[in-house]
Amino acid sequence: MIGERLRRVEDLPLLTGTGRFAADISLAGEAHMRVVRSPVPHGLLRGVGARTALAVPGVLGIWSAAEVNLGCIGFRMVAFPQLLPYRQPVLATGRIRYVGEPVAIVLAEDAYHAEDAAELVELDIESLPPVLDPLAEPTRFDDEHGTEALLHDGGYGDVEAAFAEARPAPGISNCPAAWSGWPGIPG
Amino acid sequence: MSITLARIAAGLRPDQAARWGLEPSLAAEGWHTSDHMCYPYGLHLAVVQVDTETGQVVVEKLLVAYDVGRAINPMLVEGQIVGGAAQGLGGALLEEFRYDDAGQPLCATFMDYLLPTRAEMPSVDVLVTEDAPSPRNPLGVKGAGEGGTTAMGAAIAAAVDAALGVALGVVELPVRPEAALRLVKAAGRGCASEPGGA
Repeated sequence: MIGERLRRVEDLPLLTGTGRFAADISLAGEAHMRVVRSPVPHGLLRGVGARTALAVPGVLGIWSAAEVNLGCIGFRMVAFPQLLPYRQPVLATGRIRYVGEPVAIVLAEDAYHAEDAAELVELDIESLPPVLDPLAEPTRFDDEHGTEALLHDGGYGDVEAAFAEARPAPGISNCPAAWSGWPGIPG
Repeated sequence: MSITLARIAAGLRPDQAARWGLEPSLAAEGWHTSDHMCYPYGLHLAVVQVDTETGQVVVEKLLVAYDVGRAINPMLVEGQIVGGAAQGLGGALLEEFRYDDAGQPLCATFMDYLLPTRAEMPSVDVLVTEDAPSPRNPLGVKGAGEGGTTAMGAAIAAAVDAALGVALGVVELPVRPEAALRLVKAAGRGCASEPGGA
């Protein structure tokens, strides 16, 4: 078995359009969820107004972090303890960090009413200026932390000698792009 | 704990296998957990063509070689590497998540966020080796999923530099056509009459 070129069993249904996905499944009494996302890049969340949205027919509930505390999204494997205060909550608590950040969820009997109701949820956000340049002078992140989350100094071998011998002499300024793991299409 | 072969043979009861429609055999199961990643190593080669009038970079050929320790399913490993190479090409030439001055994302749909398609992908030669099994797990396996992506940006950037005869010309990804065109001009490879007549 190990080392064999085994074909994937899922390819035939996927390539012939007969695969089944979560959206194809319909169960009696199931609810559909729509996420309400922040329209602003940075701010303080003052409140979530759900009264109008709750009146939409078929809406079962609207929850923000005030109703359900889902905690923070954890790190996968490499975790620096200094980064723990910067973890993103599943639903925004207090601080809005980017356009598209989940602030509340709408649960309804069907996807259409969930979507309609989500547009009626009123977000009370005190907007703050966004921080766009990762190389800019660090500023405040919250009351206790700055935007410079971590200074990491690591290496192995004779790093200085390697740099001294390198031709042409390298100077690396690394500014990672939002390329993998970005929030996708807001809305 | 040790156990004699005689004891195993006595417990095996090969005569019982027929009752269940099985071949007489001896099987063992084990568990292994790892709390650390197992890194593979490899190399990326890229051949590119730079249009000196438009700055468009076309990747003509890619090669990715990776030592994955042990390929459990070599076909899937090769497929992962080719898919990873496509992602790497996207990061090197196309994909960028940009924001306006107010912090609003400008690339929130696939109309604005360019993904590589079959049209941008050249054929990829893949060389999977098993010369250095990981000592960190019983099978000797190492990561194979992201290998196709890792050095693609550097390989394509270096290929653009080589095509234009400049050193450390590309210092930022993705290499958009306007950036490649600046390098073309800096390298003195531009056309006598510039596009657009500017």
